[in-house]
Amino acid sequence: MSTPSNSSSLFKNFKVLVSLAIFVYSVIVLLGWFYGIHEFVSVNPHWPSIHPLTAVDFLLLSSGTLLLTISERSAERKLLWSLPARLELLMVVLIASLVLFDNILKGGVSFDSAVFSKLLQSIHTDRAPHAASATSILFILSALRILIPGKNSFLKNLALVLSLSTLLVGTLILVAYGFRASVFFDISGMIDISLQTAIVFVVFHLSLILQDAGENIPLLDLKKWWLYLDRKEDQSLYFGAIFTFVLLFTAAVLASESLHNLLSTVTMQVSTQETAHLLDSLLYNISSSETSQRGYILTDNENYLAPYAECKNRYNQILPLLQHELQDQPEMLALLARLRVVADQKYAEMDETLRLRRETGFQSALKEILTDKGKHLMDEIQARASEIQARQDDLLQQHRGSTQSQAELTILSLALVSLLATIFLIFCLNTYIKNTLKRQEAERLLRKKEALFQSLFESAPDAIISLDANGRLQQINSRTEALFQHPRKELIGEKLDLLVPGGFQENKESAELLTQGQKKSGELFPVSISLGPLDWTDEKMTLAVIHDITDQKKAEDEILQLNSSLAKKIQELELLNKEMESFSYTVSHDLRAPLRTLSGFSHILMEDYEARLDERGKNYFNRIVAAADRMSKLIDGLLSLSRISRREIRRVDLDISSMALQYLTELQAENPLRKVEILVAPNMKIWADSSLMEVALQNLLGNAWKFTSHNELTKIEFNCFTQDGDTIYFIKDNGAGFDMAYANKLFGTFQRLHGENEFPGTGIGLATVQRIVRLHGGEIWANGKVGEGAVFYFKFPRKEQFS
Amino acid sequence: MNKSLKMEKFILLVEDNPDDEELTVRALRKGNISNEIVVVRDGAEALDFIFCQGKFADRDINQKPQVILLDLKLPKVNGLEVLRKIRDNPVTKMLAVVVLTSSREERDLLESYNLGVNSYVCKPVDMQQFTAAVQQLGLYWILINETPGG
Repeated sequence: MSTPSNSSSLFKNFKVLVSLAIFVYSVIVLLGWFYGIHEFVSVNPHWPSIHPLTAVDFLLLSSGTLLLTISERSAERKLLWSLPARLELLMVVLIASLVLFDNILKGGVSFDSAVFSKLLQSIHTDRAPHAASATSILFILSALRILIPGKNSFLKNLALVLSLSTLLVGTLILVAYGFRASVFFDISGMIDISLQTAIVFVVFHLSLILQDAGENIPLLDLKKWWLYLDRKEDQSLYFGAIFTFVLLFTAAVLASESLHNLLSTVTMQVSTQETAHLLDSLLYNISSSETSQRGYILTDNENYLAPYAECKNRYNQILPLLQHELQDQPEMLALLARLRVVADQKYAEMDETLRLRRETGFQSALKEILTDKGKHLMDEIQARASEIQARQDDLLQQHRGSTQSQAELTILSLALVSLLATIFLIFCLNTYIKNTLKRQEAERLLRKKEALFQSLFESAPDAIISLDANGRLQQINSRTEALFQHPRKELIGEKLDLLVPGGFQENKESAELLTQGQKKSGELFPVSISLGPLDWTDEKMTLAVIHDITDQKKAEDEILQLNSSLAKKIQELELLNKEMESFSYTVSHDLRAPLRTLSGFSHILMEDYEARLDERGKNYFNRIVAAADRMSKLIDGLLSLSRISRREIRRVDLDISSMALQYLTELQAENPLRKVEILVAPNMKIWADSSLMEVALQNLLGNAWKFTSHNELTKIEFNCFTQDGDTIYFIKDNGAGFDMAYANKLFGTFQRLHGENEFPGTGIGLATVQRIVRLHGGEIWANGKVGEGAVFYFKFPRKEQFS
Repeated sequence: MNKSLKMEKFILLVEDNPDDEELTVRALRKGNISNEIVVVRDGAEALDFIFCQGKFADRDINQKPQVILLDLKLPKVNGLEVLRKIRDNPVTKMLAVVVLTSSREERDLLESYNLGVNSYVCKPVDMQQFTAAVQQLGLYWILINETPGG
């Protein structure tokens, strides 16, 4: 019932106020009629005045409306108010209908006059007040309008139509009064609506329309006015329209004025003509009287007197007519009065001469006539009459002149106004078309953008949902439908819980949450949801993006599984490692102890029982000792080999030149008698584990030393060169060398290419070096020629490859 | 130099292997070290001896060995544990201990030095080397090295 807009609250009480005002006005009018107060009743003597019956009808109408409004607004005792209201309105209809029928049937007794005859007599107006039929019709329409309940749109529209038609008629009357188009209120008793009545009807129905439909008519919404006027491109349209309207109105006013002047000119012309005619007639009568008088005086025949009386009579009749004709012109009346005086004097004189003739005879009459009094009088009459005529003609001429010029001006301005109006209309039309085209273009672009965003929204690979302030789904895209297997209409308006049953904590800032989504089938699946506030309008809206992470989860789970199995394997390996360690530990201790016994006691035997042993016996003991030694070395070699694999490599920048030099110097110191040529390139660096590198170098250099032990001059070279960006180190000797055919056995464990009696060795050294090199991710290979020497090459991965 | 005093210097040999014991003693004798050599067979016995407990309860604790040759792999209480006990006790803390073992394991080395061993020597398999090593050991620790309260 109540609307929040400003306008309707403005108009809310409008109806009540207006009805109240009408009520008061009706009372004033009736008071006017009762106490004979002229001003209350009529505005202009020429115009119809407001009939007391009309006032009574207005009284009933306004009070009925008021009561009905009160009954609508009050919660209780509705009937108390509405019943008398409806009764009043029905009475209005009744009275009006009676008047109408009365007028139509043109019965002898005028109902309106009968009721208010006493009142009507109290004020004298030009026109007999008369309740017009049109007024009655308007009353019927108005009462019906109030009685119609606004239950459905048809009834509302009907009410609107009634109000509008009454409004139209009332406005027409007002305009007629405004332009003094008296045809509306002059002719018959049918239309004859007084100005006040028209105003009241217009105001009343305006208030009704505004009240009931005020909020629907944008023109009445003041707030929206500013919105309209704000649009620059339309401003010219509005102003153009207003300007055109003003022009047209001006033209209408001008035209109306001009026409009115023309009318009055015509009237004046007629009047002047009539005056002239009357004056002529007057003069003729006086002349005739004179002739008749002369005739009688001469002949003393009564027959000549007959016309005299007639003319005198007619003279007396014409004067009032002239008076009437010149009634609006006081100047003329004055002149007429003077003419009358003289004319009366003339008649007096003529009467006197006639009396003289009749009573005293011809001579006395003649004497009277010869005084020329009569003649002078006649002359003066003529002069006066001409004067009046001349004045009239003058005035007419003046008036016509001004009227002519005004008319011409009006024609000119009308032409101009039409032209201007046409131009403005064209201009407005042009602007309107331009604006419309612009707007259409803008709309088209907007629609295109909309379509683009719509397709973006729809084709997004994740489920995008917008939620209102209550957490209910508003907008969803097709991915949402597909992912959750719900058709769109099932989802809109639902809470997010339908899709994410587990719920989640709401964060004020955007956050990504992992939770379970639920499909229509009830199947749960892992999702990640990002929520964010949506900045749009004043409502608090949220944007949710749901990403199906089933695959991710699966991959993650797999990784976790792999990790755990890896961890288990590592554990197992570590266990194995530990076992290996304790194994080697045991080996190194427990295997060596009996070896020591073997070796030791063999020696003791050798020493103590040397005398009792022959050569063969010594030989056997030597073999035993040698074997024990060998076994020990083998064990050592194995242990060191296994130890290397178990170690963690710690790579550093090593100066292997100095490392090699140091070892070779030691070897030389142990065997000072050997002739050795050592060539070690200085400042060779390598990125490797320090102790492992030491072991490797010792093995390689040791080999070089060993296999050149049969040479007279030992040449050992340790150098490096670059190839394809890698540094390749090599150790070259000029020793026994090896057969390339057996190159693949070089690095095998316990593999030897020479016999024990040629060169001692376990066959572990190179295997160890290879393992060290491989641990660093490097490569080792060798070239050899039997009798000439061997070169061992190795390369390690660069430091950069590990950063 | 008082010979009798020299005679009082004795060597404690902690060794479970009788063969190794035989070899060690022989090596020492061969090196002209004629001091008394006390042999204990396991860690527990070693501790009993050093701390004058158990069957050595009536030994004078002030009678300290000149050097203790300690094997690591011992039954009952192992060598490292013995070493720890020796070093923990203020009375015996300063005793000269030489670990004589076949293990060259890094962690044995580390642990021994951590516990404050005076020297760590590996038993070589080779007899000559073994003998030489032991002789050098003996000479050094008996004749050259000085100990407090000696």
